[in-house]
Order: sequence, then structure tokens, then C-alpha cells
Amino acid sequence: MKRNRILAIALAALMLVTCCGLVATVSAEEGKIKIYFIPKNLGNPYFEALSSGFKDAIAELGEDKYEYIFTGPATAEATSQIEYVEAAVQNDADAIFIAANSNDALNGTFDDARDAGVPIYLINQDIPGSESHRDAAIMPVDFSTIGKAQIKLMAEQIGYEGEFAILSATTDAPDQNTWIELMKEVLANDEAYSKMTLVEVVYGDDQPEKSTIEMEALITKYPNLKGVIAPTTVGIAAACKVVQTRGLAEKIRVTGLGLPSEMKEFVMDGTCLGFQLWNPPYEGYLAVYLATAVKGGFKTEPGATFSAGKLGEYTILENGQILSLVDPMLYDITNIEEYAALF
Amino acid sequence: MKGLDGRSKRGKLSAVFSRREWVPFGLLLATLIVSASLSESFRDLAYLLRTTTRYMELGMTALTMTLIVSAGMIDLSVPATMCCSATVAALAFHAGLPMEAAIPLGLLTGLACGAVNGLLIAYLNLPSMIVTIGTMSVFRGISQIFIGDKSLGKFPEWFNSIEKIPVFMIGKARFGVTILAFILLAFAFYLVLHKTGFGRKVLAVGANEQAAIFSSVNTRRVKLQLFLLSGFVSGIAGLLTMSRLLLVRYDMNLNSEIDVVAMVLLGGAEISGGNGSIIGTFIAVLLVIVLKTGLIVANVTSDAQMFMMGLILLLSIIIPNIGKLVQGFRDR
Repeated sequence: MKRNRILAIALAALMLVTCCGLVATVSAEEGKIKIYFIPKNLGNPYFEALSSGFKDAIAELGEDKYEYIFTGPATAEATSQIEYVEAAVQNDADAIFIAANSNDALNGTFDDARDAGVPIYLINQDIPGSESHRDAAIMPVDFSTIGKAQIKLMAEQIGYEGEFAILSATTDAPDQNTWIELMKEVLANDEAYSKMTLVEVVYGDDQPEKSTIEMEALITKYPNLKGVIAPTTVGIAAACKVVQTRGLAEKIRVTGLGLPSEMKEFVMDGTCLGFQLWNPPYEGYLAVYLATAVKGGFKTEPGATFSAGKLGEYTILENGQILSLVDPMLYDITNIEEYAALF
Repeated sequence: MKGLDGRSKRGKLSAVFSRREWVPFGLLLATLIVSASLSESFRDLAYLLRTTTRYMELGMTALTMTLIVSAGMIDLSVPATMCCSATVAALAFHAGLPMEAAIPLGLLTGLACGAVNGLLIAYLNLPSMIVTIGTMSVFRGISQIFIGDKSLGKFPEWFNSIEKIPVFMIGKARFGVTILAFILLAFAFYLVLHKTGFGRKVLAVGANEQAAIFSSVNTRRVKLQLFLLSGFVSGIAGLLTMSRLLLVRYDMNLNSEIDVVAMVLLGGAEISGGNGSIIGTFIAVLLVIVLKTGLIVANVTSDAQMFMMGLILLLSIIIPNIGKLVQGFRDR
């Protein structure tokens, strides 16, 4: 008997929720633009740097005109972001920016959101193969320029001549392999680099230990080595550590793609003259301007342009992407401290 | 003293049951009130039903888990079994089989996973926690080997988004297939655990296995049956997840075993066995749903959510034992 009573009460509770549901009224704070940014996972300094860009733009455009929510799952699992997108739609978001954990696991959720009138923008990446499920994608940089930019940076650091090597991630890392191909193309076709020789490409598998061993092997194998390009954050930090420990900074120049926070000590003591990466806060900054433009009637169609404050004009490309930077940005002694504090 | 036979101590036992279930129920009411006051968006049944399908799928496996915990065991391989079943169904479909044949194959995989667990635990007398920690990796590993870090999708239209098929509507709120399946399954399991001979055997195995053996309960068979059931229900839940996500990935429901175990323990089942309640688990599933969606829609960050979840779990254990605690301090 008692159990039956409990069952009845449980059912009553369900009905209570139903009643609440029926009287629920949807209310959005009048006039405010509600922006959601859902990162891959929380507690990741990279996305916090990106989020700081959102806040900068909002501070510029007026705090009272925006409601900005930075929320996401604790783990970067493929489907863990679904509930967050659904909650944002339920909360009447005007725009959802998301760094998706999967190229296709959220397609159904994105479709539902867009059917409900909430635009979905990918940020810091695109979802190759699923582009029809999003409105636009804000990209960190034009990835096709990275190969060329890295060779130019290396050339400047070693005086346009001498032997250099590449310390990459894994042998099948798609991004790095594309960039290395582009580097080889530039070397072969551009006269300016005719005195530079790429001696070897080695792979540190994005592990600090393996990268260190590979770097030490390069130094032993090529006594005339003048430089190393490591287009991966783990590789460049490991290579710099080896050069720093052995006191070889004057002889071997290390550059590549790195994180300011990990590279600060090497830039400050002169081990690394400069390295490149994109600029995450820029992406958040221009995201706010995009959401504002769309709220004002702007349509995210290929060829359309909108203005993003201090960053200037941006055009939506044929594939729906927006490049926050064309060339990667240089991080050196002049700006390393400012950015190391961010990410 | 735990009753060996539920019938002989029925009055006392049911009193204990009812008291235990009040705890998750009280917590459910409290979180409902808090969630509803935190965010206006929460007070919308249509949204609640839409966004909580994931927990309904896990909730189904929490029902079988309640039986397993009542029998003094645990099955941590449930989410991995869900994933493995869905993987086999998806692979079969992509190998050219019609979806109508791939589905039973997926369910069979669930049964097979359950059989592996059951045979190892029941007939080799291995501890269920160790076995299922192992099979958890093996089952998920199978999926990872065959799919890698990719997604298998593009299923026929009729299979996709089964949870969106409305069985009936209340206003805008849609009671879909998954939700009703969960409710029906809960009712069936209530009858199984509390009203049948099998249910009494399960509780007997959990209360005192030696005594159960002496009372001529075939404990091995009971254990095997429990894991077969768990595997089968996980298979169903896995296929429902696959239909909702429109695809299968190796990390489907990764780390969800904690959620399932939490649902069972919140519902008042004793981890040492001999005691479990389907009504309790049912309420606990609702509690987890309200808690998770309530916090997410109120934009509470995920680290704070974890804290709340842990706190609720602790409270659900502490509240029924307050009497003992006070007694303990007095005796000192």
C-alpha cells in the first residue's frame, strides 16, 4: 500500500512539472543580444583566451546591450555538447558559437537549433563534411599560408642560408603534413630560399620525450644544422628545451607554432627569437561583431562583408568560412608577456 | 539482520523500502523547486522531455543495474555494451545488411556481452567489479578498433530520431517512444523485482549468497540471467542512442557508468546487496534529469554541476543514516 502511495506521489510530481510547463512564458530581456560560446571543454586556457575576445568586443560595444554566456561540458567527448546547445536554444540565444568536439555528432542538434531560429557558428574550426548544418565558421587563420609564413620566419632567423630540419607531430597528422608539403613547395619554387636546404623531417609524435630524443638526434647527425621548424606546440617547446640546456641558441634557431605560455621562458632568454600562431581572442572579438550584424539583418552568405571594429572588414568566403587572420601572427619579445598571460 | 526470504519479513522490509524512497523523492522535490526558480526556461515540460532522452536511455540500464546491485554485484560495462551493440548494428548495416536485420544483430551483441560478463562472474566466481572493468574496455575497444575516431551514420530515415516519434502529446510536450519505453520498462522491472519469485531470488543472492544456495536457489543461474538481461537492455538503449545521435562513435556514452551507478544508489539500493527499489531508481532517474537540465539551462558551469551531483549523492546516503549517526555519537 505504501509503495502505491509513493508511485502516486511520483506521478503527481510529474504532473506538477506539466502544469509548470503550461504556465511557462518565454521571456527574453528586451533588446539584449544573447550570445553563447560553447568550448570543447571548460578549464582549457586556450578557450578562456578566446572567451576574453568576446568580452573585449562587448566592453567596446556596450555591456548593457549584451548577455554573454560561456558554458560547456567538463570533458571534450563527442556528444557532451548536445545538452548545452539545447539549453542555449531553450534560453532564446541569438547566436551560438561552438568549438565542436566532433565533425558530425552534433548535426541533428544543429538542425534542431536552426529550425528554432538560432544560428549556429563554428569557431576556431570548421566541421568538414557537415558544412550544411551550420551557418558560418570563424577560422583562426588561413591555414594555407602557414607553410609559406613558417619558411619565411626561419629564413629571417638564419639569414636565408644553411641547413635546417623539421620536427613534426605524428607521421599521419593531417594539418602538419599539409603544411610541410607547402613548405617544400615554397622552398622549391621561390628563389629567395635557394640557399636553404631541408635536411630531414623527423616526427616527435607530439610527445615531449620522443620530441626531445628526435631533436638531440638531429643535432648529432647534422653538425652544420642552423635551424629547426617545429609546427606543433609540443615539438617546439621540446626543441627549445634541448637548445636551452645545451646552450646552442646562437648556433641553432628554433621556430614553429607554439603556445605563448609555454614559450615565454625561451623567448625571454633568447633561445627562441620568435614563433607563430593565430590569435584566439581575435576570433571571439569578431564573433560578437558577427552576431551583432546578424541581429541587425545581416545575412551570412558567401561574399557578404561586415565590419568588426578595430579588426576591420571581414568577408564570408565561398565555403562559409571567415578567416580571423590571413597570415599567422608573430609572437616575440615585444608581445610574449601580454599573450602568455592569456593562453 | 537481513531477511533471507522477503516474504517472512515483509512488513519490516517494506517499511525500510518506503523510508529509503522518501529520500530521493524529497531531493527530487527540492531540486525541482530550485531549478524552476533558477531559470524560467526550465519551467517548460516540452523542453525537459526533449533534452532528457539521453538520461532515459541510461535510466533503462539503471533499472537492470538496480537488480544487479540488489544481488550484491555491479555492472560497469553497461555504457560500453551500449556502444558495442550500436557499433555492430552500424557495421552490419554498412556491410550491406538491411537495417531490419542489423537491429536484431545489435541486440544479440548486447546479449553476447552480457553472456561474457555473466559466465565469468557466475561460473568462474570472479568479482563482478573487476570483470566488468575489464569488459568495459574490451567492449569499447571493439568499437574503437572497427570505427576508430570516426562516425558511422547515414542510416535509413525511418531508423533516425525514433525518440521524436510522439506517442501522445500534452500541449507542446511530446511523450516520445524512448520516454514511454523507459516508463513501461520501469513498471515491468518493478513487477520483476518486487512481485516475482525471480525477484526474491535476486534479493536472496544479494542478502546472503550461502544461505540462498542452501535454500536451493541456483545462484549461478540467477547471476547469469541478470547479466544477460543487463546486456539485452543495454543493447536496446544503445540502439536508441544510435537512432537519436544519427550515428555511432566509439566514445558514445563514455564515462556514463558513473551516472548509471549514481541513479541506482540515489534510488536507495544498497551497494552490498540484498536491498533495492525500482521505484527508488525511477525517482532517482527523474532527480538526475532535473538536476542536470536544471543546472545546464541555468548556465551553471560544469565543475559546479559535478559538485552538486556529488553533494546530492552524499546527502542521499547520509540522510537515511542520520539516526545511526546521532546514536553513534551518543554511545561514545
